[in-house]
Amino acid sequence: MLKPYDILNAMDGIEEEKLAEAGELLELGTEPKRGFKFPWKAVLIAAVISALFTVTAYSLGWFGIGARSYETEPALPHAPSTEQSEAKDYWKSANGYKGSNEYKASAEWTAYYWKNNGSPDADFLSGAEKKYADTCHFYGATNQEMADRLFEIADKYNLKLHYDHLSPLNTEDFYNSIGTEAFLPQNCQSGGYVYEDGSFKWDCFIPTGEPEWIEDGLIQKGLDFTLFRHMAGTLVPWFSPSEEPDSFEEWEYENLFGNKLIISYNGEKHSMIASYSEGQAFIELSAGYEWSTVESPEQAEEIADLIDFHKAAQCKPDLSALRHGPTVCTEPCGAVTAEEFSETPEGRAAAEYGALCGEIMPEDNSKLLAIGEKYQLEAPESFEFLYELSLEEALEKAGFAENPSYSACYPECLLSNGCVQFSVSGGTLCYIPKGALCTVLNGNYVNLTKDAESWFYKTEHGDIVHISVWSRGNVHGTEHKENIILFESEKGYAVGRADYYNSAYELETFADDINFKVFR
Amino acid sequence: MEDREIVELYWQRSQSAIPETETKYGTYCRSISKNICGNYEDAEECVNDTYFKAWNLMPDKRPALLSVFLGGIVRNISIYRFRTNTRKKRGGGEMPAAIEELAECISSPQNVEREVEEAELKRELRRFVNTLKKDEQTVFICRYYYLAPISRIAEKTGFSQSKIKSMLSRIRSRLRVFLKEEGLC
Repeated sequence: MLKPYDILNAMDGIEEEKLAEAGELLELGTEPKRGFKFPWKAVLIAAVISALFTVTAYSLGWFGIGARSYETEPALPHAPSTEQSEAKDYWKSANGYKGSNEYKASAEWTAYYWKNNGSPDADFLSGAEKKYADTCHFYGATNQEMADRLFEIADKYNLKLHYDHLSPLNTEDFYNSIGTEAFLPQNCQSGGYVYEDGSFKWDCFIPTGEPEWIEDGLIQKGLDFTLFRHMAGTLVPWFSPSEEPDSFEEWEYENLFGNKLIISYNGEKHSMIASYSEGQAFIELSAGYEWSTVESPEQAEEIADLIDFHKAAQCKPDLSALRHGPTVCTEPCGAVTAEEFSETPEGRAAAEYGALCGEIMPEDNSKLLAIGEKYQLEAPESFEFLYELSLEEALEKAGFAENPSYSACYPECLLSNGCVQFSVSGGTLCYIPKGALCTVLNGNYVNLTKDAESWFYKTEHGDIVHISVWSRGNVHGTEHKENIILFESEKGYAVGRADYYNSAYELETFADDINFKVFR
Repeated sequence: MEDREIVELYWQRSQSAIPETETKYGTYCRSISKNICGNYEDAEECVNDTYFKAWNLMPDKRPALLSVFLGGIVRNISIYRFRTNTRKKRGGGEMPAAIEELAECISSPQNVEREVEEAELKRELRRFVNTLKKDEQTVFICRYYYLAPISRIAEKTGFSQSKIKSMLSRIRSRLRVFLKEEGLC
C-alpha cells in the first residue's frame, strides 16, 4: 500500500536538471538564520507528509462534486444532458452528500420528475390552500400525481418542503430578509428570491468596463454568477444539472475572507462551482455561462474571492420586511387618484385605444386619429425604439436631462407626441404629456374594481403617488392582481406598473426607485 | 572548484575531496537537511553522513550535477533521521527499533519486489511532474523535494503564499488522480 513517505522518497526520480533549477531558485544556504531552535521543527515535514495524503474529509472525496453527484437515465429533450456520456444525465444534490436524506430525496425526485411527470392539469389547484398551491408551484408539480409523489418523498426522508418565497427588490432588503451582514461586492447588481427558511437563489452581475456595441445591441459586459443558500432538512426546489464528476478539477481554496472552500472547475465548459458549508447552511457559487465564461482556475479563485461565504451562511430569516401592508400618506396634497386619472381625456383615450388595438402605431391610423379627435388629444404620427442608443443618448432623445430611476431604467420607446415607455427595475413606467394620446399603455386601470385597495404613498424622496391594487380574477386556481402607481405633474402623468405583487412592499419599493421630479 | 574537479578528487581517493565538498556544498546540504530535521544538530550529523556516503559511492558513480547528487543523499538521510526521531517520540518501544537494527545487519534488507515498486513509482512521479506547467513544477519540487517552507517558496517565486498553497492543493489533487489511474494507489 502506497504511503506518503514513498512519494517523498520517489521525488529523487525527477530529472536532475529540474531539481537543480529549483534548488538554485531557493538559494539554499542563504536563508536568514532564525536561531538555534526552529519553530517549524518537526511541524514542517509532518505538515508536508500529511498534506501529501491529507486525511481531511476533502481528500477522502467527501466534499467534492463526486460526493454529491447522482445520475439518471437520459431525460426528455428539454432536460440537460452531457456531452461526455449520452447514456446518462448528471445532477448534483445541493444540500446533502451521498447517504444523506437530502441527497436521496433529491435523486429520487429528480429521477421521477424527468421521467414520469405526466400531463399538466391546469385546474388541479383550484380551491387549494395557498400554502399547498405555492409548494406545488415551487417544485413544478403540475398535476395531482406529481404533487402526491412530491409530498410522499418529503415525508419518506423527513424533509420539509418550501411553501413561501418573496423577491427582495434591492440588496439591502435581501440582507434584511435573510438576516445577514453585507457579503456581496458593492458594485454588484442582483436579484432573486428568498424562501421562508432563509434559503435563497440570488443572481448577481458585476459590470466590467463600458457597454460595447455587439452585433445589434449595446451590451454591458461583466461577470454573471449565481449564489445559492440551501438549508439542511429541506428538499431543494430546483434541479442542479451537473457534469460527470471526473470532468472537474477540484481543490481546496482559502479565499481573501479566510473562508475554506472547495472549488470545482470544468476546463472544457469554462464553468466553476465554489462550495462552502457551515452549520446547517450550504452556500454554492456557480459561474460560467456561454456569455460569461470562467477562463481558468486562477479566475475561478478570483471569483471565489468576491464573496464572504461565512457571512452568507449566517441565517436569521425574516420575510416580514418583504411583506407588509400599505404605508399610507394621510396628506396627499391634491395628488391624483387612479379613478380620477381614468376619467381624464388622457386616461380614457389610452384605455380606449388599448382595448381597440394592440399596436403602438397601426398601419391604418384612422381609428387612432378618431380617438385623438374625440378626446382632443395629439395622436402620435410616428414612434421609434431606443434600444440602439446608449442610456444617455436615449434619455436625451426622450427629452430627459436626468434618469427617471434611482437604479436601473431604460427608455424603450418614444412616440412623436412625447409619450415615453421606460423599462425600470421591477416593472414599466409610461410618461404621458398632458394633451397627448398614448398608444403604449394597456389601460387596465379602467377595470379598477370597487374592492380595489388604494392608498396615497409618500416615497423615500418625498414624492406623493397613488397606488391601487385590484383583482383580475382566478386563473387556474391562482388569484391574479393588477396594480397601478400613478403620479401627476403640471406637465403630464407618470403611470407605473410593478411586475410582481405580494404586498405593498413591491409597489412601494417600485415607487421609491422612481425619480418623479424629472417629470415635473 | 568545478564539480568535475571535486568528483575527480573522490575518484582519486584524495583527502581534499570532503573539505572541498564542504567548502562548496556544505551550507547547501545543511540547508536541505535543516528543512527536514528542523535543528542544526541533526542537520550537522546528516551532512557528515552524506559525505561518508558520497565517499562510498564515488567511484563508481560520476555525477554530472554534484549539487543534485549530494542533495539527494542528504535528503534521504535526513528523512530517515526524521522518521527515526518521530518514532521515538511516539514511544514506539524497543521492538521496532530492534528489528531495524537487525535489518542493517542483513545485506539487501529490501526485497526485489519492493525495489521494483520504488523504481516504478519514481518513473511515474517523474512522468507526472512533466505534465505540470513550469511554475507548478518549480513549486512542487521546492516543496516536496527540498521541503522548503511555503514562505521561502513564495519569497523566491514572487507568488503569494495563498497562491502557492492553492497551487499545491491543485497539484496534489491531480497527483491523486494520476496515481489512481496508474494503479499505484
